[in-house]
Amino acid sequence: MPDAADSPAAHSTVLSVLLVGNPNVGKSVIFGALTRRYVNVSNYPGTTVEVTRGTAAHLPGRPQLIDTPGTNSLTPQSEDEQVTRDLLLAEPTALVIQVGDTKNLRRTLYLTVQLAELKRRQVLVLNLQDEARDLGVRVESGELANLLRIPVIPATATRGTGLEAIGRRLAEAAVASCEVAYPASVERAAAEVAALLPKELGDQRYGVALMLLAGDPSLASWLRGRVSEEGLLAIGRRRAALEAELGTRAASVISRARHRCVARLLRQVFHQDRAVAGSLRDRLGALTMHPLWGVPVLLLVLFLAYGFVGVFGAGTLVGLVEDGLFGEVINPWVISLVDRLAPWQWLRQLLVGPYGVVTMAITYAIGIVLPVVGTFFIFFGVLEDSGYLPRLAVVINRVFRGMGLNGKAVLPMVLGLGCDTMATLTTRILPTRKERVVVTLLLALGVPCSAQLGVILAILAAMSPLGTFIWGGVVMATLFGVGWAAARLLPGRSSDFLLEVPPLRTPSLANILIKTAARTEWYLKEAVPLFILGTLLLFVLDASGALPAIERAARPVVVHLLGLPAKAADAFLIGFLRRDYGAAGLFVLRQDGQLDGVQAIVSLVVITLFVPCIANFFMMIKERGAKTALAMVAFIVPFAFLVGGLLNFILRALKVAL
Amino acid sequence: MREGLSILGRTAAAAREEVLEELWSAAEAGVRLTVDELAHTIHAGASEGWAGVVQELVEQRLVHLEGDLLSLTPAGVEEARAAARRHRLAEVLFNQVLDLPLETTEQEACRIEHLLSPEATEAVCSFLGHPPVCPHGRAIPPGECCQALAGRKVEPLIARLCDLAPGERGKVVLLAPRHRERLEQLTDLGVTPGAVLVLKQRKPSFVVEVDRTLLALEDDIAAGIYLRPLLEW
Repeated sequence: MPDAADSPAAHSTVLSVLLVGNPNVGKSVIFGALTRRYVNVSNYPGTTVEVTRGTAAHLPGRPQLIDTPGTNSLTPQSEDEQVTRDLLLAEPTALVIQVGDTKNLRRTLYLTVQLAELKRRQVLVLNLQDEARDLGVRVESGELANLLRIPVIPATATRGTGLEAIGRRLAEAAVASCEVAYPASVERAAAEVAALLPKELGDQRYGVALMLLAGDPSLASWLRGRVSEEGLLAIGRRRAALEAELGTRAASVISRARHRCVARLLRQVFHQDRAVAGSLRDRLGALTMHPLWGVPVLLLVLFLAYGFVGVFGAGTLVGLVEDGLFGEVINPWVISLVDRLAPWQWLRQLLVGPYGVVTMAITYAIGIVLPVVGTFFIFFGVLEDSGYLPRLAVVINRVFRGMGLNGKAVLPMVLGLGCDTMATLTTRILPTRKERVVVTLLLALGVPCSAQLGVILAILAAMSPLGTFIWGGVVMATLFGVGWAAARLLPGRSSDFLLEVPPLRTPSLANILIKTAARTEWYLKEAVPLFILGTLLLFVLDASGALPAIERAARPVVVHLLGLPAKAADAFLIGFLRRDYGAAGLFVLRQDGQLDGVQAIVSLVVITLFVPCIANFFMMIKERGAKTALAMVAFIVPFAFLVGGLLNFILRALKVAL
Repeated sequence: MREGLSILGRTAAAAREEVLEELWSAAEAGVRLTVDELAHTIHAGASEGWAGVVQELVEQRLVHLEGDLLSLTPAGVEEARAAARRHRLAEVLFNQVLDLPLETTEQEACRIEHLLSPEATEAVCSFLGHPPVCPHGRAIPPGECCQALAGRKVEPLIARLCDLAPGERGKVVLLAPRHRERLEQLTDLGVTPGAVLVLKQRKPSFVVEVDRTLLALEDDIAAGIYLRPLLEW
């Protein structure tokens, strides 16, 4: 979704400031407040998987502020965490604003200790003070600042408190003073490895040496250009020697030493009053993950989504905007205007003909899809900010097991309902390559994005509920079947389910509105040009007489295999550009009475499973490589038609009437 | 044949404990064994060795031979009881804590039980929380350490996260995940020896609270986290 993209790298003369912290502690809220730039803010770990840069007008010297994906350690466990670690190494002089969750000071300080080993100058923002207070957690930030000798700033970013102190105290940023007492053998090894590292790393060498001794394979490529072949070998040997000496993994010994250091700090500044038992928030949170009640809660959420997006958005609003605004006001007015002003027949056709830019592209994009995505974005925003999504992952972890995935994959899959392109990017939170490939495939294959889903729901809502069941059943069974097969065919390992579940939070109306506006703007920017492009394509094909030829060529598949009218080929054709556009084509066919019930369901199943849109395809190439992306598309297209053909055959054989 | 269960491959001391244990189990079940039956239950087949071991036990007045039937003398009962206790505690250790399959458990228990001194046995028993039965469901004869606590409900000293009930809490003693990378991931999230975990729910997935943060995790991971249960505070 419309997360601000990475702007071209700024000049290195500009002072950089990095926002670093554990996942879901509010880095993006602080980024937004300091730069006045919107970045996606949600209540689940892994909202930010890319780096976002902006100018922090509110900080002295207007430095470039860089928002990073959350991480629990500088030894990354997934791609998004690696982004942060790599950025720290790439920006060796940048100051660090570490954002931490006050109620979980242990994890915060665990990261502080590692930043200190890398000799990073930092301030520490203890965010989420409000939640900590509710839970009876007290942190003596003054005492902590004395111990670490860095500025410690209590804040509640969502309410804007404490943020003004960041600018005031950034100049005091310093390397946190917390000496970790490592066993002598580790210190000796670290000193020896540090000596092998390039001089320009300066005093960071000791910290990098510890990362290498912990055996971080993701550092290898960064190291290759900087250390000679022999140096690399020597480091590997030294690490093996250390592990032999310790009799265990160096990584465990190192992390244990860090934790001991953190525990010592905690004893001095962290106070936990007796917890207030069972607040409403806790009880509600437990209910959403309950083995029995979790299911009705999920059904309720689905029902609300259907009611708000399917019935209200796709029904009421589309009726008002498409039939009312476009059908009765805008289009007649534009048509009469064009008829009067445009001298040529072809221009009139181009603007207001059956494949006209106004009558087709704009009407589809604004009249049909916009009301649907608008309502979806609102609903989805509430869902994201409430903290429900990670709880959904807990409930359906077992279902995902069958697909070689685990509950963590629920996040990208559900985000795919918003936009498959962004969801493909979010697969970075998954720990293994196999999982990332399977989820990318499933997103491209059968997870309809909000725009497409809305149009599909609009068609389904006007049919008997049986239609919705068949469509949903076939798509879900296909997803599960393909996932199941992919899990068995693809090499590699899946990971175990391990996910942080954030507290339920009351969504803030302002954030929902800003987020919806940003996403809608992104939709208009990305979709409308493609809608117009697709319409132009159809117009040219139609005018040149190629369209009937294509329809004829597609006949064996569209008419004979799928049992659809030849005209449906148009919808599939523009479906290559955007799946929602293809679905909108079907919507119009259905409105015109050219599709009966079975045909509607078959065509909807095909368009759902059909190729990913262009934007998603490019994202697949970027994230998974061209070969994998092409292989996926080569599988998906024939497979979608095959499933559609099979469904057509079965429904006809059973004489299902819809 | 290097089958670990052949009597001749074992030391004399081990063999005699084996026999005493077998007789203890038989007595528990209310049966008396003949020499042949004994050889059969020990899977050894009739051989000179057995006769010798039994002969020796009879001479030491630990076993009473009545016609063909064997039984334990009062002194024999004492020793057999200790042997059975060591064996079954070892089984609990291998099977329930270290997660070895039952077959392996049996062999390993046979091997280690003879090495356990009385102090070590008490320590293992306390570590395991004075378990009343072995993985096969046979009673573990209580030792002094258990009797000292008789009448009081004893919390096991160590339990796996997956053995706790929702609402119970414990301090992490050790992490033994199946995949070693998991160890770092858990550590990064604050699940580290010394951390206090509260089990929130077991189904549909395990959810624990650590440092005021909820973590959802796979059953497999929960089975690799060992804690010392803490009483409600």
